[in-house]
Amino acid sequence: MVRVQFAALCGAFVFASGGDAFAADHVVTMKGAAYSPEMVTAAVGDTVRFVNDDDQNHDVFVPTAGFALDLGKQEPGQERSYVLGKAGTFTVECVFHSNMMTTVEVK
Amino acid sequence: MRVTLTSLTAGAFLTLAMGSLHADTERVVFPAGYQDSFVNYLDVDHLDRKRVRKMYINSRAHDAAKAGEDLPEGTILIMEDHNAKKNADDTLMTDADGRLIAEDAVTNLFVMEKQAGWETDNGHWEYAWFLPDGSRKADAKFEGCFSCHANRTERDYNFTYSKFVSDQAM
Repeated sequence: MVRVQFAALCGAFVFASGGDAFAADHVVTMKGAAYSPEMVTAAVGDTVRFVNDDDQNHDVFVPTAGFALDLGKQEPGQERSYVLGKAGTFTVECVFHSNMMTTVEVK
Repeated sequence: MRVTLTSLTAGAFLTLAMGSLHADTERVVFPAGYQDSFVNYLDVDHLDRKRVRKMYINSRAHDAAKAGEDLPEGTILIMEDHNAKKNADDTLMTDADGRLIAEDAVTNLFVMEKQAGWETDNGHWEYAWFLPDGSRKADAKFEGCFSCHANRTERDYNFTYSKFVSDQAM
């Protein structure tokens, strides 16, 4: 009984101190040279996973001031992740395909 | 057959005569004093290469640039590479916003400059690669610069500054 209570208390501690306990994953795919979805709404601490499920190379490039980022070239089948560190809205572009864009809003 | 041969010969001649339109990288000179006189408008976290890329533009072009328009003649854009700081366990060090922190030292300097009299594969833009001491990188290749920046013809061949101006105007 004591052990159970201790475990419960430990769980409560993790709950209280672990801010990432509820962090979500958001998947963005690239099939047909298009990011999907076209808009991601997320929270600080969430992770965006960019999955190249297309048959050509793509890239994740963010030109927005304060959020600018390059995750590098992704060959078909490759995946890159990025943890959202602050609130704001930024645009994601593919370096190789100028019409390939999505927007990430971090609340 | 004669037509085909003539066409082939003419094509080959044109190719030989014109050569590459992006061969004269000596035209871009090292922008001495840029850290004091240029505007650092953007820092890009290059997580794949563990670098921070600081972007600069010369002040005259910055003052003249307008959203939705090509950049003015005389524009100089600089991409200044820094290694990102690391923690003791070799992971990347970040600030409170999760952004990379640049080492002070510059590792490479890439410059693109636009002059009306320059005719290149990318409009009027020419490219150069300098080392931190201001000397040219001897074995630099520029095909990658031209081909990659050609993916942003609608933004006057640049990835970040025209977008920056548009965003600021919103």
